[in-house]
Amino acid sequence: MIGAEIETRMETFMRIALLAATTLVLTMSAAGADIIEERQAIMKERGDIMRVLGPIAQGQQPFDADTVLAALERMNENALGDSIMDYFPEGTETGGDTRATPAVWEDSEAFVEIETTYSANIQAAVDAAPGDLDEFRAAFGPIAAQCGACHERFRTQQ
Amino acid sequence: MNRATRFSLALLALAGAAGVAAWVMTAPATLDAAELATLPQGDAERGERVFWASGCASCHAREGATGDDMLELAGGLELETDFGTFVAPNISMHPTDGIGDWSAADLANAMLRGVSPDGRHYYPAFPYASYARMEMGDVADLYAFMRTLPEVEGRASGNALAFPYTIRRGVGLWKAMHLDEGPVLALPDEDDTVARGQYLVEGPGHCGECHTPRDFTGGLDTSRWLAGGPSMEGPGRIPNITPSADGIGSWSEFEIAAYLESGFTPDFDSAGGRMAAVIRNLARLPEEDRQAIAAYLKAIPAQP
Repeated sequence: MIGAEIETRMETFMRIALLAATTLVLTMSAAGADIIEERQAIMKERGDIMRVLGPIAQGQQPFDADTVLAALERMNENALGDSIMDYFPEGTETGGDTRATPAVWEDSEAFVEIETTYSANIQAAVDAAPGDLDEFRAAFGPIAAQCGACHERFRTQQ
Repeated sequence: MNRATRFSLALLALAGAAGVAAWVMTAPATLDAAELATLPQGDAERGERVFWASGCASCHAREGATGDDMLELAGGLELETDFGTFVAPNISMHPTDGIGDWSAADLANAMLRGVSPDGRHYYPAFPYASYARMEMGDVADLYAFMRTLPEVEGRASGNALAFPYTIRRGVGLWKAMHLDEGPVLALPDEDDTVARGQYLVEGPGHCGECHTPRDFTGGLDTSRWLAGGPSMEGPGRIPNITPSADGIGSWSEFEIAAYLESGFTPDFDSAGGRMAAVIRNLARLPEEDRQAIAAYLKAIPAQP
């Protein structure tokens, strides 16, 4: 009788443990997938902002101080500074369709440094509030340079 | 001597002759005296333009170098390929660790013939198959510019190649098949801009070294010129840069030239991987050179 009860309890315990473990794994992988999607959305927004500022810097679109400042402020909000690794936690090296290279984790110091420089350069551009095309180009160049610098080592080839 | 012995001896002699022929065929061939006599006195200022066009810093500066650090040619960059790992050497002006003791003729033999001052073949990871199309005057100017660059101490580690690629002499065979200083494409009626672009892309710019697929012997398949293909360095693909739907047919000349300066595609994505360093070089060229490259890339045959 007692033996059977213990057995049932054990079974129940095992079931709960198994359920808990499964839930944990599922939540973790869901969180991993979510965070990959989240960081990709951040990068996509950067692309959207670049499509506003890039053509102005290239002289394809006319310079307008308000448009430029609004885009720079949006860029500032989007920038992650030294908290970028929050979006690249361990366990998200692969999965989703991430294009992050192993170097993000192997040399995270360099990775964070680029994002920090990028963010500081944006803040400087917002503070400068460029009044004409030349001022804008001078502030925008150092921001844009970080895109390639980061993709050089930290994004895989398609 | 019986018949069998005579036969064996004859076979041995034949094998020996074939060996000698192969040895002679694969001998490193330098520029001859008449060719070297056309090497003019170089001009360092013009040479700087050749330096950026040739992308020396992409492999020989420290990885990720920007600004003036691109002039410190310490070497060390590793190219991991199916043949093994090639390591870019120190080509700074250091007299023993670099190439500070080279003559202009040494540089010409290295770049145009792939032969070192001590008479050995270089592996074609050093893109002399493209540089072979360069003009003597440009090599002389480049030499004059490189003389002005700093000495950097330290030697990069050597290549780590797989057999049989460790047999340097075998490169002679590769050269017999693939070293051709003539233009890749015949473009009738090309104007001066396209001609300049052709020279830059096919010669010093050595774009085809990555953007043209290779055949099984490791040579460029010029029938698929600039059509892109698998990366030599593991996963990923190198883009098709011909004016086709699979390539950059939708890009305007302006957009190509702008990309070569800033790294931004018409969609404002930014160049990454090895291309980032290439852009840092090309950004230093006068605008007319980037426009010439763009004009050439619009003039070449479209490839799927």
